[in-house]
Amino acid sequence: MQMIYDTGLLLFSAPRALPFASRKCSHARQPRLSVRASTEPGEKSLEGMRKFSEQYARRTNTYFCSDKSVTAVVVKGLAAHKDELGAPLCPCRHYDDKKAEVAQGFWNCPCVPMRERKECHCMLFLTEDNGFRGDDATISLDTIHETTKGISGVQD
Amino acid sequence: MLLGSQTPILVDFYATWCGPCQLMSNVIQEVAANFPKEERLQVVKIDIDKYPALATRLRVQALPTLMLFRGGKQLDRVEGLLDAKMLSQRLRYYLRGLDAKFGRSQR
Repeated sequence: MQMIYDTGLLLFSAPRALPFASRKCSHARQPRLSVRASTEPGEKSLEGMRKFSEQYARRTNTYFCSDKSVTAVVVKGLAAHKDELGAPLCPCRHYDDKKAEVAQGFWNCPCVPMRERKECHCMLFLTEDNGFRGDDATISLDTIHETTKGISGVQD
Repeated sequence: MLLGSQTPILVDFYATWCGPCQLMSNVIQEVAANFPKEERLQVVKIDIDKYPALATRLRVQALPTLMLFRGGKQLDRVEGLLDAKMLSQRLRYYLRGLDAKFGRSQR
């Protein structure tokens, strides 16, 4: 009886919990993760990224995709990241730590591969010789909304 | 997860706001629809925003990333967009051992 009591004290009072206890504790303390998928961007960011995309394509002599829905989705993704993180992080990548990536800057649009080699795997800025490219580098807000209807970012 | 299965599983890592991922999704649908009925192929789509830990564990970086598993082993992994022809060719190669260049069976 006494031994059990002593062990009990040890378990609760030890600053460094024993392996078994720590596993149990961390399990209990683990918060219910509200898994947030990406959210729908705000109007201001969306318009900002739309303008940026058109201007940057002009500046780099690149085109939008012939399928404008691809362009629309990426522009929305950039805007969503701008809202969420303060910078338009490339939406076509997975990151271990988004905030660290924003601070580092490599993947902030326009990303380094784009700036250096005109490589955009998001298919937002396509070079003249790219088979997927369209004939222009313009996209209206209406087109963006129309072609992204139903792609909700909000988790259900 | 389902990695012990003998049925080949094609895992599609995507993000909601990744444009090429939407295209890839259509390509996969097309390929899966035309897949021979005798050969079962399971397709799993994983939203990396909902399951970031899994994406990190499997070292997913660029999107879309496709991975082909069978019996717990990763047979193939490809990043970026593929068209229907290239994707079905790859699947045939890894699943049936078909010669990728000539499309003929090596058996």
